[in-house]
Amino acid sequence: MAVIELKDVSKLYGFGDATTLALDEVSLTIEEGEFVAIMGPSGCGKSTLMNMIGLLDRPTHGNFSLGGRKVSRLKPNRAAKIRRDTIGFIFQSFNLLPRLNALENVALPLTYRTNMSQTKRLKMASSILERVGMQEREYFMPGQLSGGQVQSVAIARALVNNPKLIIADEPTGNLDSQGSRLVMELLSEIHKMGNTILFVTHNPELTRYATRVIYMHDGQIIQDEKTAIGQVAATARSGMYNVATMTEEDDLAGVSVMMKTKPHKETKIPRKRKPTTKKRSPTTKQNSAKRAKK
Amino acid sequence: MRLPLRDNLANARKMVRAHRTRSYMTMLGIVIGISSVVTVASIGEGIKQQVTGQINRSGDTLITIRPGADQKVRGNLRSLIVPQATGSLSDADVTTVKKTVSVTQSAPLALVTGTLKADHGNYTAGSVVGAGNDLPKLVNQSIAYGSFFDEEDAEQDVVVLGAHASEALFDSQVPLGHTLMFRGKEFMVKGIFNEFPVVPLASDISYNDAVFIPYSTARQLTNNSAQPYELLAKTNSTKNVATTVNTLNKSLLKNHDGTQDFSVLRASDNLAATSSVLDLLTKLTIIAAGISLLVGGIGIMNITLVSVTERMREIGIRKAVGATNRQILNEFIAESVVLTLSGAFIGVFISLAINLVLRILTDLAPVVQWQVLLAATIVSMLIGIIFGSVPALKAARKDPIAALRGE
Ligand SMILES: Nc1ncnc2c1ncn2[C@@H]1O[C@H](COP(=O)(O)OP(=O)(O)O)[C@@H](O)[C@H]1O
Ligand SMILES: [Mg+2]
Repeated sequence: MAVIELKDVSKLYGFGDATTLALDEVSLTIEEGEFVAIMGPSGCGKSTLMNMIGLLDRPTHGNFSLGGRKVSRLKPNRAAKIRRDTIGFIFQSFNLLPRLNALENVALPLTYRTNMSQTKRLKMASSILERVGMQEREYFMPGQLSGGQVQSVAIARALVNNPKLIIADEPTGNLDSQGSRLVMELLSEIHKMGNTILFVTHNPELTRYATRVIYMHDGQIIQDEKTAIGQVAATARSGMYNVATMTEEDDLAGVSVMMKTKPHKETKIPRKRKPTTKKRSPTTKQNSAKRAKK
Repeated sequence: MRLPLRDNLANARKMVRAHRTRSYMTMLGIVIGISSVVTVASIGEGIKQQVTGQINRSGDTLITIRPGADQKVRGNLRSLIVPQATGSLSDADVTTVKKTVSVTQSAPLALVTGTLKADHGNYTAGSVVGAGNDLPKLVNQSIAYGSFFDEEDAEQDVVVLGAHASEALFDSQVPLGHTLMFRGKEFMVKGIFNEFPVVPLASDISYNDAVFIPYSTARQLTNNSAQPYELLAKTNSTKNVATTVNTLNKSLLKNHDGTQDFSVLRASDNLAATSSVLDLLTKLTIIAAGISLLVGGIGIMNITLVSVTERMREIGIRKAVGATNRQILNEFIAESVVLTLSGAFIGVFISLAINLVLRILTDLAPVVQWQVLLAATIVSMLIGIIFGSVPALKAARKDPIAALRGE
């Protein structure tokens, strides 16, 4: 059964000349148990997509259902309850409440559920913390934990409600390779338990853990491939992400290379300034494709 | 699905403690408001109880006659500003009262000026009062040593001392038979009163500090110029009080050529007068405290607004993990309620400390009523809810993504 189903979903920010098309008629189906990596240059709409799927945001146009239920136009309170009961979030940073210790942070989603005693909540949180290997740091404050440990606690918190879907927006974005490995191994284990996981990353190496990799550009999904666990996805391996995509020019170059699927050609591509507004012209994709053919 | 109140309060306490200095500064308005109201209310209640206690002691059959009209309402603001019709009581009035059928006992009280000298030199703390022989019975007060005046003491140079006056005038613990000098004459101590219970705010002179001489002696000393500032009278039963007051008023009016330049007061009138002073005092305090609480409430609103802005990411995370708007609202309101309640508790505590100091240093005996404490708690909670709801609404309505970005 499709856990997530998006049909022609668009998201616009702002209005008038300053309108940004953050998502451009995205259609996407994700089945239960998939472990999806989402890649793409910054500003391409990855976070917007994650927030949409996680019911933190609403689409401007299009239809969207979660677990077979239409959720495109939910009232904030209904959305909050669905988030509470079925979705776990992991963010890149500022994941934990600084004044709560690890245990209390993990128990936080439970406090928003009906009448569960505090003892029971903390007990549950404690057992989840044990699952992510943090049982010895239950009473540590977030400031006393390393980046990887903070994210482990965040993962525990995302898990504590036993959610169907876990959404991680650049969970390893602030971590060193060791921390990244720790976090990805944890997510991988959770995936094995049957959860559906979506994560955003810039690191092609991390596509090893995924069963599917989605590439985005300018609010559109430009490639969608299934990969075997343990292998870096073919497109990602092609090298487009070996250089950090810092500027818009780089982004464009990266996409151009990807279009060609042959690695190490980006040096030949003529660099051209993109219009400063993020407003997507319908020809952008074709243009880049054309340029790539040269 | 509301976050249990207990959790909210525990969280809120944590937040308040995290910003200790700021929290205490914010509470200040509430602390001042609550402590002043509670203190004044308890002082007032203390005085009322003392006055009531005195009425119970001297009995509600005691009638007081004073010069000046409208003595009943002297407690209100108008009487403090508008001059009262003045008059005086004469020796004829004394006789009239004494001869009234339903009056069982009566005594005039007259002030006599002049310096008083004894072991410790000049005495200035109290006055010399010419008093009728029935005074102890009228005020229901016993003599500790010796005895009060009787017929034989008429125009004699004897004194009876108030308890404090005795200590202040003489070395001896019991100066019976000792003498003091007044207006060039030697007076012998005949008796010493037990200590009178103190009644603050009462217009009477302090009996404890007074030196009593027989009324006849006072008249004689002053060549009959000393006039009673007060006449005390008692009837035989409570039922007769009202009619006796009327009778006295009528017969005294004749003495005064029909001018009501005196008042005939019952014991309860005294209480009413005291009450009206206290009510005025309480009203003024409530206004001042209200302003203080308002300022405190606004302070709490501001601090909570700052707190909401500082904690945008926290609000975002809470919403992301499933907090509804209502739950966020409750959390922030709980925080401001914890602030105002803590302020109220500190205020009550300060008030209790002030009351204790007052009991030690003054004649006041403040009494804290549970109703006042309940009102203080409810009012401070309401302030927390009302002023906390503005920032709490801001937090609750925040878009989760904007909050996560810390905007
Ligand atoms: N609240 C917002 N208001 C205006 N523009 C926004 C807002 N959020 C995102 N955007 C724009 O939408 C586009 C997609 O942003 P985002 O989804 O954050 O990209 P990514 O996560 O891939 O880096 C960007 O151009 C960004 O500037
Ligand atoms: Mg992003």
